[in-house]
Amino acid sequence: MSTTDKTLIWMILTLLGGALSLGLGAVWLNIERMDLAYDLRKMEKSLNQKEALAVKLSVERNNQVSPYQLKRLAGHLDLGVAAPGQIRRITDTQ
Amino acid sequence: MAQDGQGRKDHSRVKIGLVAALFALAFAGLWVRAGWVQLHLGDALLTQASRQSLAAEFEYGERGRIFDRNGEMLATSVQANSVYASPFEIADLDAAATAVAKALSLPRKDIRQKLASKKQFVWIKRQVSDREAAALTRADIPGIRLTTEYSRIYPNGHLAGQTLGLVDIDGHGLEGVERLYDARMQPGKAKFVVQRDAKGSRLYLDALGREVNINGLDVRLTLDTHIQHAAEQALANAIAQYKARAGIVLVVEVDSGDILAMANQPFFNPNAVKGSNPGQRRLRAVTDVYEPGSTLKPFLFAAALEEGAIETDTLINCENGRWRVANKTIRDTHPRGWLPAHQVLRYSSNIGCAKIGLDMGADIYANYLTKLGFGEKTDLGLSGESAGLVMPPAKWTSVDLAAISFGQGIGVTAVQLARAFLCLANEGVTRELNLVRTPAPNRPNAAVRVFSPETAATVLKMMRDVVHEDGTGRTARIPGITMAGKTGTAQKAAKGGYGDQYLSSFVAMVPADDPKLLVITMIDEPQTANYGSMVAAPVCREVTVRTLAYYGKVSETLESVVAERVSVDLLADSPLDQAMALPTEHPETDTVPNIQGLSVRRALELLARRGIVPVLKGQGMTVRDQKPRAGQPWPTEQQTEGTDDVFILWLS
Repeated sequence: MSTTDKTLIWMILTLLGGALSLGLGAVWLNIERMDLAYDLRKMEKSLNQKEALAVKLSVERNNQVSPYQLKRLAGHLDLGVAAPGQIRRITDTQ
Repeated sequence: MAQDGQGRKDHSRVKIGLVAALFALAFAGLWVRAGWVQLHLGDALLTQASRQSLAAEFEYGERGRIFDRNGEMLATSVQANSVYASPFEIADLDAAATAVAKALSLPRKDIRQKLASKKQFVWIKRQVSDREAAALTRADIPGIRLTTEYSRIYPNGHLAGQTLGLVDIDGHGLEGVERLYDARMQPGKAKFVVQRDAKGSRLYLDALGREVNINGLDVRLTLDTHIQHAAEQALANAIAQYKARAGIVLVVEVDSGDILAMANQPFFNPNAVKGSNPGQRRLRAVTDVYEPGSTLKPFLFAAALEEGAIETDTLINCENGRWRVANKTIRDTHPRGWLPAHQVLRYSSNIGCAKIGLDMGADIYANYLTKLGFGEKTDLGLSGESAGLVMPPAKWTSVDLAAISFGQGIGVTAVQLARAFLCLANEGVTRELNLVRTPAPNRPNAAVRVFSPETAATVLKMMRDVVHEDGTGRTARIPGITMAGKTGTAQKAAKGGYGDQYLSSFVAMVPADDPKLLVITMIDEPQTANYGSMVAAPVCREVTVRTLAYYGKVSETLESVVAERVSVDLLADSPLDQAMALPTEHPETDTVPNIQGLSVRRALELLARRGIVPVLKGQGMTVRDQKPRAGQPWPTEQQTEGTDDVFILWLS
């Protein structure tokens, strides 16, 4: 077998090996992509749930700090609106 | 063909050749087929494959939120589950109906009827609670599914309920701000492609279509939740006390025209639309037309002063409370004889006002009323707004002119009245009311000077006397601050004339000489008292005090002239004018009382009476622990702060 033939065979083998590797790589990447897609979907759902929960919590927070709730709480703590004459403004006299 | 040594023919080369040819043919066939499939059928197959493995998915945005001027949330949308059925997938109808009815607390009969439908899609219940959705998920009924929608929530309940309005179940604004800015707050819809696996589960494919913000735009109002609350509370108390039918309180910031509060009673909670009636949902401040009564008189005086028809000290005969115009008799509640013009306003004489109006003439007075905006809608843009009722001056008889001069025979809304008083407070130049900060109202500057600054100041001075002299508005007086005010007690029109029901109203502007705040109160059909001074003025007073306190502008002293500045050293010796009365429920004892569980304020008051200033430890508003303990003798003066603290309170 001449040197040229040997080179040709090696080239063909190398190309076939390369093609096989690339094929396997493509399969592996596709599997990884699918895994990633499943994970992303899960994360998307989780994010949506957390965002929805955050909105609900912000509604609850706003309800808790609504003037009606604050007034009730202030009543429990004996706090009320200052009447005229009950406020002192201390200004710097220097 | 080669022969071996025994003469047999060697066919191996032929065989190899045949096999090679067969392989070559097979490969060529495959090659051609692959080429055919790839090149000729490629596009069609790709479409088929995409149909199987890709799916379109829609995402709906969130409706825009509504905030108050400080960013407090007034309305938002939260995700809620809605239940639907695909009836053809349900095998056991009775079992499914029973399970769904149990999970959603609905009548089984109704559910069964829906599930028996021939349709492919049937709503079972929309916007269910999280608990109901969880129960349904646990039940895992074939053919019953959940989908996500947005439901509208108003965290403050009925606070400014009518102003905010309401949306239908599909999120379209029906009333109030929800309707006014429906297009702005409407959410968008995004479509993007997802991948499907063999089971049909959907997977993330790419980011295309996800980057667009599809949420509706927010709206920020000029309302302030705390002032709105103060207005609603004061109004509700007055309505309950005087057994009135309805009421309105408007608070306006004079410098900007911003509406800080627009309270309407009866209240409406937009979270519970089903239980409400149209009367509760009505935004009375813009929809209801009232004859304002005496609260219109300041405009008559302003017009007459501007036209030179009167001076402040022009004497007017108030006919001792009874005067006939044409065939009608006008009466005064407080009969008077001759009065200078400024006292006619102070004592709210109808006869005096009628005479001023008749002197001035219908055309002139009507022109002023038109310039002040009566008879035309404000540009708030809220649905259902009324333009009020102002007859063309050509049709006014002398009786009409006399009646309109003291606020009868003309119909105005609360917002029209507010806009007109805003003109007086703004040195005689008109200013539009604002309800919305964002988006900023896009309107040309249409300010018109109606009265000269001197006229406006003179009328404000007259209105100041209504409150601070012996006028009808004395009950609205607030120690330490000047107020310009005007009472109104208007008879309400009934079939065939005027009945026995009244509209009690009061308008307050503080401070009187350079108003910053305008408060209007209208109480409709109070039963146990009628006069604006009794019914409406205290409401204005309370709302004004609470608003000033909220802004930290309540007076330090009880004198009206409060501009003085006192040094800190002097303050130490001068007790507060209205120091809180000490509580009586904890009488002085020889030993230390148990003050655990008391609020800090009460505890401090208690100890202050013994001259003790305790050391506070921890954070909170309630006393958790104390030293010395209850029952021990009061600490002596020898003890010093630090290692041996006189009195320690631990807070929680």
